[in-house]
Amino acid sequence: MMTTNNAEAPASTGEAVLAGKSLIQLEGLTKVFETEEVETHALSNIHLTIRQGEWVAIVGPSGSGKSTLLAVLGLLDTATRGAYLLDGLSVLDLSPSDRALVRNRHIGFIFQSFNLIGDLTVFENVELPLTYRGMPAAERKQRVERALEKVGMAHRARHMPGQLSGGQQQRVAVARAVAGDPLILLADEPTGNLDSKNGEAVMQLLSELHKGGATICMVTHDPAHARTATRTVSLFDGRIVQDEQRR
Amino acid sequence: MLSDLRMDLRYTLRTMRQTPVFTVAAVLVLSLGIGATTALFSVVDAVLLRPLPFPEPERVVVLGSERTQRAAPNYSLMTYEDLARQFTQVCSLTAFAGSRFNLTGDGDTRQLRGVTVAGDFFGAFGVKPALGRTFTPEEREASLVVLSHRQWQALGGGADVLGRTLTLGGQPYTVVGVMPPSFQVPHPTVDLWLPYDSQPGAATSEARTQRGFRSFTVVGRLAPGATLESARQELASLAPPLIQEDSSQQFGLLGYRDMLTRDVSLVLWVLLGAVALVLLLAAANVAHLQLARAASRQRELGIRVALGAGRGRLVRQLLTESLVLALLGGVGGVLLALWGTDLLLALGASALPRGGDVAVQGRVLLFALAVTLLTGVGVGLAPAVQRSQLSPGLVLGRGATEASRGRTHAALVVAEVALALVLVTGAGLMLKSFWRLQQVDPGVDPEGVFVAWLSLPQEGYREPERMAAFHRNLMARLAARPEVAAAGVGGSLPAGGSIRRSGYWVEGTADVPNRPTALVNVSTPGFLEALRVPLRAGRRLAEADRAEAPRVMVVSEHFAREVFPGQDPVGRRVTFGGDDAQGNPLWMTVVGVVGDVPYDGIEAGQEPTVYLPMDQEPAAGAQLAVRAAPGLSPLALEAVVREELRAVDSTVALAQPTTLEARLETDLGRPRFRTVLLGAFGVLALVLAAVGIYGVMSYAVAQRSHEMGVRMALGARRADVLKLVVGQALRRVGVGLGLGLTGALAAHRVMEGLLYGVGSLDVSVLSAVALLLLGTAWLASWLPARRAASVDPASVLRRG
Repeated sequence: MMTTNNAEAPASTGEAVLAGKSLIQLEGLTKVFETEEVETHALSNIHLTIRQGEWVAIVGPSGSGKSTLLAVLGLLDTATRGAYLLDGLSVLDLSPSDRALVRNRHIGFIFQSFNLIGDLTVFENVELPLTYRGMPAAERKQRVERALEKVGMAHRARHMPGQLSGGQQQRVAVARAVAGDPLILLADEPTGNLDSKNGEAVMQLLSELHKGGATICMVTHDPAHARTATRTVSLFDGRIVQDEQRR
Repeated sequence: MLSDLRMDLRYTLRTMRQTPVFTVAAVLVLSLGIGATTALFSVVDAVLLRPLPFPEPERVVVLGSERTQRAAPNYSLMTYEDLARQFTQVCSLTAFAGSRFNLTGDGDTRQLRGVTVAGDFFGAFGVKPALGRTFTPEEREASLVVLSHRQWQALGGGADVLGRTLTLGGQPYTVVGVMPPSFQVPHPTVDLWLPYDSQPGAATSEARTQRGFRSFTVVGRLAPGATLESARQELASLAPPLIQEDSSQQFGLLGYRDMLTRDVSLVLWVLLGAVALVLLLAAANVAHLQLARAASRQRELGIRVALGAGRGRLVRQLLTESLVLALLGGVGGVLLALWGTDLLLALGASALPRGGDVAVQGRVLLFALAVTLLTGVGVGLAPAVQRSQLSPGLVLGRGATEASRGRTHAALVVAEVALALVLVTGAGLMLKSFWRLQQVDPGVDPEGVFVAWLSLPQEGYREPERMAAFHRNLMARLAARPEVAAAGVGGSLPAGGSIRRSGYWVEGTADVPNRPTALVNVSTPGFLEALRVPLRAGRRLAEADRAEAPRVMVVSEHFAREVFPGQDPVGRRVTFGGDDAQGNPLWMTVVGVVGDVPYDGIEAGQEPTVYLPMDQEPAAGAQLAVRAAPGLSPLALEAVVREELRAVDSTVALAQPTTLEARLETDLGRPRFRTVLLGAFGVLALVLAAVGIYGVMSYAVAQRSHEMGVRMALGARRADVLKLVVGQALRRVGVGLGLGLTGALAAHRVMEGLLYGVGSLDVSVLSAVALLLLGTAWLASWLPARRAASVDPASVLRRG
């Protein structure tokens, strides 16, 4: 186990123990929310490297900056200062259109509230990011079917999200995230809206994806789920206070 | 129940205060819709629906064609007399014709619009005089006159008018009665009625001696026990011998009101239909707002249901809200209608038959109330029923789907676009038709021409030579004035309202019983020059074409084309009846061909026309046309004309002085009235449809901001979101256009009779309107789409 406090030494964590190439590199990343009266430092001077094949759990109390960090990693939000390299490409200064392109091709999202679109079928939900990629229909079909089979939801392809249980909806969301073969899966409290049984099933699914080579970065409140990951990064007041690597 | 209602009302008023923007917007939109509908209904009511002010008005019938849309044809007094002797199913048969009388002996000579009548005129209409008595059929030769209420007022409005002597056309007439103000037969500007045979020389006049002299409208009252159908059957049996006498006559029978209104009823129903569509659009917009507001109150309604409110109770509460809104809109609408009817009258409704009766009162107010209540229920029912169907669990829980509401909104957008397409197409067709009318060559150069009616008193002008001498004298004096470039007198002027048509026979062809007719314009030399009607061949009428000179005529190009196709008409001879001293047909030689002039109005178009010299066909009533010298206003010529008129004969009245340009403008009054109204409704429809689409898409975008966030998180670019939102709106618009096309084609067909120069399927208007609506819809959906595309996915997803 390796522990680093980035308040004392900027982390270039896990470099010694992991063989995969560096996929995400954050250098001195800071995010400040400004209102008329107050300036809130959501993230302060974050140094973090995530290598290919890692499963990183980001933990911390409410307001510690976990979701903000995930939003910045997913290019849903921008940083105020610092550098962010995704697969060697600096992505902080990209235009909104290029950020959308990077999100679409390289990042897969899994949300706490599933965020399936109610008016689209399961198949169409999974297909959605591929359509934004301009992929031909035949290839899309192939990829969607493969992703749904991977999560065990192929038989529900024609169903509407409203007809599925929470666990099933999250499995569809996972299928949507992996259908485009992203570089990294970003999961924000993926079990937060599920009962324990369904939660375990989703964790099992993520575990299988990880074993299959997926790189995962997951925000969680649940210590048990955090332990499933190969590495745990703890945040407090927008800073990394602990970075724990497990074999 | 009553306390429930009170509670609902209290709650409704509170809710309205809490959402002032919604309330004001809804009330304004409804006021507009209800106001426009009410204002137009007030016109329809006065013109088409309100009974005529006669006893049993439905029993008053008029002779005419049952098929054509034009005004009733005229008949000769001889035909009338023949009918009156035999017609048993119709009693009080009367014939009447408009005439102009110079009123002298009371200051300046004034021209009055009178009606000469034969038979039981007042009995046919059954109206009692307001003052005095009417004259009877037996008093056919008595010099008695009945005044209109309007003319009575003009003469001082005193009871002492009875027994007073008026000098009309140089003949003394005794006033025996005054009709009530509602009696306006045959038109609102009538001044007096007098027996036809009371006029000097009536017994030997053309009207009494020539069957071809058709100037009289024939009206009667269905006899007791008779029906319109039985009267028609009898007329059909009486008609054949009359047709033998004059084969061009049509003997049909129709209700007097139908005859009065048949050339305006189509346009009024079309306009009322159009304004009803505007109201529907307004209601659809308010229904959008209601649906959106009901959605934002979903939780409140869920709590009410959870606390035991039944479905009916909930529907009642929501309906109370929409009814209160509609009632406020109704009040605003009636106020708007009061102003709107003035506007309609100013736009030309006053010129419609019975247009003077247009008012917002009684039945119109009841109509406004009915429309208001229907609108209130209409806009409130869909949201009320939809909201009341939700289960409290679903409503109070998260994740209630809004698919059905989305479908209702989509249906409303489709309906709005379809309605707008119908309305805007109607407006587009009318605009194109009006534009075509304005492009029509009037055949004359109207700029700088002063026109007026000249009416010679019968006393002193019984001999044709005197009439001819008067016109010659006046024209010579006017021509000598430096202010005058050219002057002439003619029977007809463009849009002048006086048309004479006669049957003709061309020398060398077989005379047929049913002769073709041409418009006959008896005119002085200088008339065609004053109007600048272009000369195409030969010459115009000249000073040399005097009574004793060989008979000549100038023909229009239309006449030349129709009568002498491919030949030179100059030198050919034509007769309009009558014999010369030797008993031979009275041939007239064509000496020239001039351009066409649509004397009967631009909508009616050009027709074969001939110009006969005034010296050879003298007429007592004619119209003056004087072209001003360069740089001079034509209106300035009125003083000049009056001065010369006084010098020639001060008893000759000059009436309705104006300019030819103003006359032509008036001619376009009715098409302009319907174009302006339909155009306004079209613009309103476009605005309402745009607001509706914008409102729905804004609402949808607000509802779907989370979904947009998810889509953007998944890689949707700004352009993808714009495409999604605009595409969705345009798909709905496309469906609306498809549905509306059927309605637009139907509207096209209905309006055909109102259009000029527009084909039966005008693809250019239809496609332009569809493109306009698509463009409007694109803009109306692009603005909310832009908002959707600027959603911050991080903040939206953070909100969950």
